[in-house]
Amino acid sequence: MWRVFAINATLLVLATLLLVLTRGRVHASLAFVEGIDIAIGLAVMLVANFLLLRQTLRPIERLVERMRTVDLLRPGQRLRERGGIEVTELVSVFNQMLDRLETERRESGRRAQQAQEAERSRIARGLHDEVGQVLTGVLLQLEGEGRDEETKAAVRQALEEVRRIAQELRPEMLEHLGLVSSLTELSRRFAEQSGLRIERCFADDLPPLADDVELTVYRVAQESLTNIARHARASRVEVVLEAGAGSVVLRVVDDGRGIDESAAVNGQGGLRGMREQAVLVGGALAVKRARHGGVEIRLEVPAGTS
Amino acid sequence: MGGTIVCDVTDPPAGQNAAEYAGALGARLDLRLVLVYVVSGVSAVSRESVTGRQDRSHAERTLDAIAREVGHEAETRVAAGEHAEALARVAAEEGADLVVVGARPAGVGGRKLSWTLARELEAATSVPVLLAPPSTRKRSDRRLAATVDTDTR
Repeated sequence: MWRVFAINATLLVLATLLLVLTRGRVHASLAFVEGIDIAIGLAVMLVANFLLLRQTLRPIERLVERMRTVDLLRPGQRLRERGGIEVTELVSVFNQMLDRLETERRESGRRAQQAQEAERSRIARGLHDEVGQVLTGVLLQLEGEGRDEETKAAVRQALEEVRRIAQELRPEMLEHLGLVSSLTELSRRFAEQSGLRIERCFADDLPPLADDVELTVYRVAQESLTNIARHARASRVEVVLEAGAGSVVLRVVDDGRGIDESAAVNGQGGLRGMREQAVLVGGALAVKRARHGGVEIRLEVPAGTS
Repeated sequence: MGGTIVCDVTDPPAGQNAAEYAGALGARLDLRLVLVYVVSGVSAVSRESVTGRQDRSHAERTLDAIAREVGHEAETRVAAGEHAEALARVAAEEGADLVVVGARPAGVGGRKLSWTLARELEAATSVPVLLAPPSTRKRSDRRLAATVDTDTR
């Protein structure tokens, strides 16, 4: 406020000095030439006022623009703290607020993810230990009673389905055998179910990953393959796991019909979920046109076990 | 590979020059290179319109041509939206370690550099931005002058 007041006051003082010090006088009945002088003086003052105020308020406009476009899925967007004292303070407070929002979002997202994984584990255990046991019991009973094969096949199929869902909900292999084995099993199972040709290329010298990061890589691969089966109309899929710069990169590439740019950017549902998971572990996720058509999903996550 | 460079090639002379810099830097440091062309304006959102398809087709052709010139197995991407925002978004998605943008000569005799995009990027991304000056003579492999702004605020 003081800055705007100072600008206006300076202009008024200058205009007053100009009137006092110059010989020009304004008479009660305004002459044409005097009118032109006044109009020019007024125009100069207005332009100067506009330019000075624009210079002063420009950082606020940038701040408003940033407030409109800031995306918490893309952390690190900050404004430089420069300009007048008030503006610098405003930008500084806004940047601090973004810091807090990003931290809060990361922590709440992590808590939500942990809760989701715990719930998945609980459901998977329930399916495996209870429903699975019941179905196994029914199958044994049917075999004992010598029922027809059709009924037994239906129960066997239900049992298989329960095991498959339990396995998808809780990737036990990830805990016991690690990421590479889990992804190998995931892609083998996917190829079997979808009939698509899958090419795996997993590097030998991958750096270790933290548990939650491994789980994110696994979930993104799982979601990508599911999306391919549902929407891509692909015939071939490539799953690659390679070392990056202090990171691990997962690439899932298909040769299907591609993806609409706006869908890739705005990422409803599955894509948005993958992006959120990537951000939670400090990673980056790109959904883009593959080199030879189709879609490439690229996830890069930081290496390290801490 | 040791990291990722995202390079803007949207404006032909400055972009091509930036791609040369980024390509040379990528080859020397063994970095992945992603060339980006940003389609802005109405056509960016109307993919189904003729203008939108033409713009995208032009963007893809330009990217392919520049990628061939640069070599170094450059990846390409067409992004839609406001220039700096779209570029920042791609940088975030690709996990970029550096964004390279071109500068145009400005002022009397072209002695100054116009780098509006770099200034806008400064607020849109925390990734360092490298400004590739316009080339005035043939660049040898040994000469690679660049300005790096690592200030993220």
